[in-house]
Amino acid sequence: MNRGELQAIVASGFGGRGAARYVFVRARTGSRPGDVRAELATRVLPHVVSVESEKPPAFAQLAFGPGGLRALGLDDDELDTFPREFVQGMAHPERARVNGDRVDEWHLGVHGLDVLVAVFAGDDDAAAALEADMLDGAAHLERACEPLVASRLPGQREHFGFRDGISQPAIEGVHADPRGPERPVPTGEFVMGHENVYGQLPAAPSLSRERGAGLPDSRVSPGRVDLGDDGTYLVLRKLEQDVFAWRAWLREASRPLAGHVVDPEAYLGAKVVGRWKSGAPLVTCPHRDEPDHALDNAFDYDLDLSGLACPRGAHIRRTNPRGALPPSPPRSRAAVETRRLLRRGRPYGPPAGEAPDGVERGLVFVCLCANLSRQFEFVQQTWVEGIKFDGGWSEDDPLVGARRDGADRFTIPREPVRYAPRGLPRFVTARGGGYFFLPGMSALRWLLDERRR
Amino acid sequence: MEPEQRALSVVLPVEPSRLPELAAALAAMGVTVADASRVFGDVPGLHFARLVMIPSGDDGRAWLALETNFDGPLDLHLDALASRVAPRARAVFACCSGFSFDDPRGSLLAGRLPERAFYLGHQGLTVETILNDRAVKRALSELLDDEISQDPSLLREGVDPRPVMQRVLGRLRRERPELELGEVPRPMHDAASFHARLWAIALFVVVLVLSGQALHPWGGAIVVAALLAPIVALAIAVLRAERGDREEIRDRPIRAYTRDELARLGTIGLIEDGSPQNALTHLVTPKPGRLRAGLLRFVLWGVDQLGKYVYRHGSLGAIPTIHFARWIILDDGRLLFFSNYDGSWESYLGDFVDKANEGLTGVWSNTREFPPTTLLAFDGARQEERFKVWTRRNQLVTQVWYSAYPDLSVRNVHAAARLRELSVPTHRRATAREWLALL
Ligand code: HEM
Repeated sequence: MNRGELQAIVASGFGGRGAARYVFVRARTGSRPGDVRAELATRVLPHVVSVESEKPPAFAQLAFGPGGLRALGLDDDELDTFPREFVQGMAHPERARVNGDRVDEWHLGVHGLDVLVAVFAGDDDAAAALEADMLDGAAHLERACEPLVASRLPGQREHFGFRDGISQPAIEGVHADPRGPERPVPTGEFVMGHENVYGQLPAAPSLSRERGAGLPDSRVSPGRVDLGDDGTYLVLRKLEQDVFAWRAWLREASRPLAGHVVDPEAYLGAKVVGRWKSGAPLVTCPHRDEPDHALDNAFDYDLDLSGLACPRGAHIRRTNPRGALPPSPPRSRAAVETRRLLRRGRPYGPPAGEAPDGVERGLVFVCLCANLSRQFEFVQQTWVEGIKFDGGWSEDDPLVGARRDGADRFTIPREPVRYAPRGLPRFVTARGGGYFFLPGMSALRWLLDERRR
Repeated sequence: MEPEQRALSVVLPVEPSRLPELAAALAAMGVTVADASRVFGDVPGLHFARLVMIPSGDDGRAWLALETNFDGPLDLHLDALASRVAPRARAVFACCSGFSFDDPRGSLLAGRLPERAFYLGHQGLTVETILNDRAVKRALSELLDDEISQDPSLLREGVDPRPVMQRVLGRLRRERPELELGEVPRPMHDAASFHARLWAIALFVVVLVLSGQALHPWGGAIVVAALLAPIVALAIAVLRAERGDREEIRDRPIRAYTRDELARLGTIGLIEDGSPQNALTHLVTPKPGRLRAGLLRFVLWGVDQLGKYVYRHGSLGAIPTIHFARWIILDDGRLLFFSNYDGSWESYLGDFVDKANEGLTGVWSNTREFPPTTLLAFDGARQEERFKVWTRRNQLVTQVWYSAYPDLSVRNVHAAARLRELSVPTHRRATAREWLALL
């Protein structure tokens, strides 16, 4: 494993860098692939860092949608060696059906997103300066829309007030010292060209030998050369959060609990998320928030199959059910291991004040996976949006679900009478996004090589 | 005792030149379950049904396939299909060679094929019972909600569950007297007789060995050797055949869809995943040779037995999401698979890979282009990406598909049945607690 081949975001979310900008770039009309490559190679590539690189004060990561790869000169047959869901793009009706999206509510990526330049820096000014440096005055590149600017909320919270970014899979060979007792996930789950949980090399994009001169031989497409090695897929979704609807619902729906639990609103919110605001998981802290346990992640649901501590439908239990699913905890853990996501998101928009302000805010949900349909789309479709998740009747993810097909209930098991409020509003609305290919460093240099045909 | 639910599989020959006409007629019936309800909705006791066009195989024969899963006697079911479905799907059946609208019943029967393996996820529960139980569950959940909103003190932890149950159940009986509560007859396949048969076979083998031993000092060993020899010979033949398979597939990239396949996937993609339930129609050609044909039939027989006598409680192996599934062998030898399952395609196929790979590999290892196997049951479906691509490439569009309860998962059906069974007065705290937990 050569960590210098991985773009740095595979190993880290750069939590220490307070500022991030997601810049959507495209080729200018009429620009030729060679020129686009040359300009990306001179303006952007020098700022792209790998896991091993020394990190300058501001740096970038670079990924491509199908349109971006076309702009670099790949043809349709070559694009077809990418997964179908990537080629179609997140806004395609089939993908929207799978992800539960209503593209008519989108304003980002409705017609696809070509190139993603993600900029990270210590502060917003430095990030903006690097962006300007790379793109202002470019002859063949232009911004496709306003960049998405991440905001920093105190205490690594998201807009609903919960500590985020706690649970992440550790990757074999990438994270030298995986924290906690959790088994590190095989590299191939997050990086192509390495064995995945099934002990196999993931399918990967490839080119003919003539077209791809300079690339290594493919080990999964005989007779061809490989473009996927050390690369992965990046999912970006702009998820608007309605903080005021969330607060109002907590107030309203927690009323019947008054007198039965210490702090009904905090209790209800924790039941929805699966962790208290500090991050302390319900499984280890079922009764009250205990900030000492904020970063606990070595827990399982195998002793809480009925969901009395953490409801079966809670956000973190849906998105990583650990040992909760039938037929047994060990088999559940094995199956769940094939569905892990590496989250790299950040909030955007200003923190919400006391009164509704009509300003958009939310989460730039970013995740990495080597297999879009098995990992991201599965989690989104079957666990987040699936209204029959783990024996449910008509419930989606209470925190982020789109409330399709009348799924508006959330069941909180209690002894002996459950509380199951109905009429859950939609707290989170997808406003757009895209699927990107995040190449390994060698593949990236090859893609941007101006001399190739 | 036999369960009341039965399967009917009918394939009717279609002249290849009339396939476009058939496709158009099927498309005209619409793609949603609601569309299909206009055709199938009033067939009594019908759980699931589908109409699918089977494209021409190597020898040029094509068919229309009809699948039904129903309660009660076949005769009544055929009458209902003849009198209700045939006239409404006239344009479809008119494409089938020799279909007679004067004798639709006879025409359907003439095309009947046996299910080589048939699995049902809720043995013994009729449509009537399932719909009753759904109504019970919905009504009870709402009544409990209502009780809580009138008296939030019910939410106090540790209240006595029995009076709560009594109150809610009492209201249900008063407000919904038409609903059936408590146990209802639930005929299922008799696992005891299956076990008895297994014991009988074991006993037969023991007697054989012992009597061999009685006849000659080596007699026992000779009998054992004679019994094992064919198995060993078979294993060797299989291993040799599998080496050939591996070479055949080695040089193929994992993702290798043709343009036609991509177009078909595009159609499927806009039909699939629309409701909590889904349909899979899948058609493959067995590998050539008598060895493969024989093995395939044997494995299917085994799966059928397991489904009937072992996996009787809603989970086929470790897959808890199948309502009804069947395998049929067409007259030209192709293997047709119909499944009515819960959740997304990706979750279903994932369960195949993660939880049931040996069984499915056992069946499909005998078909063309299946990911290479070891001793028929191993590897195969564990090659996750190859297996999924293989499944997709051989998937057919399920043109017309009907479900009597499209909003219920197998787990819902079982939970509601349990709830209904428990919905009788009780003095037991534990029962009342379990009952409440089901709401
Ligand atoms: C605005 C939308 C969202 C918000 C506010 C949100 C919030 C949170 C919070 C507070 C946590 C707990 C902190 C942690 O364990 O790191 C969490 C965990 C998680 N979320 Fe989300 N989330 C959102 C959307 C999503 C979506 C769309 C997905 C997947 C498709 C997702 C997948 C996950 C996963 C996999 C975890 C980790 C669970 C675990 O390993 O225990 N989230 N999220």
